[in-house]
Amino acid sequence: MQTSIRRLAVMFALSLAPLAPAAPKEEKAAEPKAAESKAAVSAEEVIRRVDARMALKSDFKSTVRLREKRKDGTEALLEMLVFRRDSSKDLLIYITKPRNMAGGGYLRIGRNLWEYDPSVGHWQRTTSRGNIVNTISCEEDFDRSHLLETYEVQDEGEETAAGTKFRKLFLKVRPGMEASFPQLRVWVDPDYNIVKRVGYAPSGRTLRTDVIRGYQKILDPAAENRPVYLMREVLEVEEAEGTQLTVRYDEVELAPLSPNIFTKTWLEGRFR
Amino acid sequence: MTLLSFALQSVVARPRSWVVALLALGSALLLALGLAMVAGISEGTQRSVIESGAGHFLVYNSQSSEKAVVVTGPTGAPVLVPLPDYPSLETRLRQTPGVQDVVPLEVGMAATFRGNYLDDKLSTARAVARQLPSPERNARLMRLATDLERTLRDVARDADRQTEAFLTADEARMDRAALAETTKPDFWERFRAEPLVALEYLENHVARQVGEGESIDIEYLGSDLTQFARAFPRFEMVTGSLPPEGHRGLLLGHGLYEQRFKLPVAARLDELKRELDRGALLAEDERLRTLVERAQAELPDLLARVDAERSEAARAVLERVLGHEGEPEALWREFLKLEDGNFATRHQVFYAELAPLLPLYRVKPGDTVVLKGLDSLVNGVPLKVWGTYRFRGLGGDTSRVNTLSLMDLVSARYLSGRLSPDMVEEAKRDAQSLGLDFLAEAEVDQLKPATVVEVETVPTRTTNIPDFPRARAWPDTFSATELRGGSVLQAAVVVAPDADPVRVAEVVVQQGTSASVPLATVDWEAAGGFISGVVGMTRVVLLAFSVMLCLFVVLVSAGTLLLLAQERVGEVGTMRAVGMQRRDVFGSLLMEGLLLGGLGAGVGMALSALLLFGSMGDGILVTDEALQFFMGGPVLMPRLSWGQGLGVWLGVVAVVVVASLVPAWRGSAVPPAVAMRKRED
Repeated sequence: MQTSIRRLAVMFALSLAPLAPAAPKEEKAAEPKAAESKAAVSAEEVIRRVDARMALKSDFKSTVRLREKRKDGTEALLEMLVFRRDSSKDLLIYITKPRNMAGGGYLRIGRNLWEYDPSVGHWQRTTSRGNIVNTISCEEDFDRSHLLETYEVQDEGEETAAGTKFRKLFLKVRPGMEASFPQLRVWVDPDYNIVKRVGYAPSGRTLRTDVIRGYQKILDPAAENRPVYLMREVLEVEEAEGTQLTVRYDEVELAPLSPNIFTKTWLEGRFR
Repeated sequence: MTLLSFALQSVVARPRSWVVALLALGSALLLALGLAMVAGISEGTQRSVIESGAGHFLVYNSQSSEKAVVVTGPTGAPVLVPLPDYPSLETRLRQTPGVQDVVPLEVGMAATFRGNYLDDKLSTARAVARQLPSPERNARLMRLATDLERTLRDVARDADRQTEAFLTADEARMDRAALAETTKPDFWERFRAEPLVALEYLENHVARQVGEGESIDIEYLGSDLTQFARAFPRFEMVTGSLPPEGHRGLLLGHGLYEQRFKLPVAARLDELKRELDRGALLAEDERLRTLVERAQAELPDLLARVDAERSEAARAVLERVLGHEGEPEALWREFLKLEDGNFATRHQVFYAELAPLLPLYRVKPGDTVVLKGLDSLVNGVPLKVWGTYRFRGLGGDTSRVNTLSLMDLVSARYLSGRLSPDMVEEAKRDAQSLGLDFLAEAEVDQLKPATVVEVETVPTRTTNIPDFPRARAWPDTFSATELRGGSVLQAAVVVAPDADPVRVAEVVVQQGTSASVPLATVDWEAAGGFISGVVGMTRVVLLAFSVMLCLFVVLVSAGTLLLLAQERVGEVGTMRAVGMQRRDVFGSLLMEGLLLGGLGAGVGMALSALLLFGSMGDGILVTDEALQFFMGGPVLMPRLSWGQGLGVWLGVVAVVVVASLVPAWRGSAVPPAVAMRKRED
């Protein structure tokens, strides 16, 4: 009896399908298919879709604001402009607040990561994928998502919370790749958004827990206005010290950037 | 008395029993000397810790979760709550009877990063290229370009020898292509036309190929430097000068300067000289030969840091010393083939003629270094290096205490992440205006689908990028209020020579309690952290040695006395037969042990006193610089008080008496009949 009702329902749905309004082609590709069984999608495919939803063809600029609170009550607020060109893997972080750090930043060109101290005009080569401005955030937090390239993925099944099934995946860094977190566990919602991620040390010790509170849907003009889903607000909690960081990505612009921006000379020239 | 005379006769009659006395003598001698040495080390380390920044005790806020120290251990600086209203507290402390000086302190770790030699050269060229064009600037830039061209030729030549283990094939190919580009005349034409563009290319595509540069860890004490120098008389400047009052700055420990900031080749030569001066031989010591090899391995770095003119001058010196002509690298390599026969001459030539042509130190007084705290919320704190200092008589450049650097308290505060009230206010204001909030702890574990907002972006070129006025973010000076008015975590208290530090510390805490100021103190031993731990360790070693020695004395003495008692069974039987009581026999044998122990230990104590007050009266010379800190200077003064001497004597006698108990018991327990029969046998 049950089988025949399900069959009827499917036939009914199929008969109505031609009546549905035609959605843009690109949009369709980005949106998850409602009827698709999540379990049928492999772990690699989930991560590939997560990366794809955040992949940009346009250059990226955003004002990023960070508020950090340490266990001892110390608070800091940082504001920075993040410029990114994924096609050439260039990245520039330009600090605008607080005043004593304003004008400094980080510049990544190829395999070089430079840190600039404006008070002495000093550039320092840094290779560690360490913390940005000594907060618990790291360079990866401002870079494009390249999980599939960096990690090997293991499926850990599904976890249900408040009626929603989240895909749980365990990621282990690929040999020869560098990552701030050698191991990651991520929870992905039905729309392929990571809603939570936990970074671990090689020993398995928890390093940082992130809760992604929101995404912003933006049309990428360089990719025929394909929608991309970029993080809007992330809350990061460092396990060892109990430090908490709120990161918000405001005023995102997807538009061509001058190639001059990704040069040392540009950052040095930001002083009047 | 009879027992004593009986025991004395037995001892004289049996020379074999003197073994016990000799054991007692040796034990007393060793223990007395050991105790005197440990007391001398303890006193020396105490003096060193007190006179190198800790004072007689440290004052800190008793609400802190950890205790104050001046020497950090592997866990880093302690977590301390700032002292409440430090300026008033300092005034009160100074008024406390017995207090001679109060010095605010802060301990911490920082690091300064250095690029590789190409990074350094390119950085210098960038600074020149950014100057306004002038004939002088252009001429200097051309000289730098010529030098860079020469250096890059060497890099290109060495590139094939470098390991490519960490590169993919594509990356390695790109690196080689980038290097090849710099060997073309076109590149240097472009350099002359657009130096900044060419430099950017070199910095991003070539410089990385010669290594990563290095990070130098700096353990520091933040303080009021003028007052610090006054309060601790062992402080002496080696190079440069103290920062004027109210000026920010850094004084590098001279030991650190010699070990980490010196040209690596020179540092290796220094290490070799120290070892050879101690009598080691290159021919016999593989470690020293490895040092020679390491000095040679540092050669490319040395050659790249020397400009063309100085390189030619060095070449002339090398040709004269080696007696033939050649290319600079080959000459240097030959010069650094060091052996026992040529070391002294080459070391002398290096310092007299070559070192003046080399950038011997990476940082000189007057330069600015950027320090980064290991966990602070500021990116980097630029600090002028005013000079180098050391603590006189506490070991030379290899002494741990002389690797400690000093900086002003204001900079130390920033480095530790304790922001100024202005900065805190600014952070609060910005956070409010931007509406950024934190996550409730309960939310961290919750899973819910992400909310997605649609955002319209304007596809126009970014224009709203701020500029900043060119101003120094870190002022060179600070006010007196800023120095002491900011948070102070701890203070070192120096006590007057005639005052008792323990009593003064008690009074300080009592005064704090009555004024509702939460104060606690730690003495020099706790303040010295793991360095003072050496004293505790020597005490433990002495204790373990004493226990083992006592055990040995007990075993050998008991064995000897047991043997002697066996021999005397017949004699004992006769005495018992003529009416001597068992307890008298027991007492007599025990008295024999006491006599041997007492005499032996007495002679041992006399000998140790002779050694301590005779030949060691002026102390023991400590030539090893690394040990001088623990000895309180270049001379170790062993100390043995009358009380300690008496204690050692009594201890040794007690051990021998204990060893005599079993033989005395066994000897006295033989029945007279058995003993008589034994005698007849």
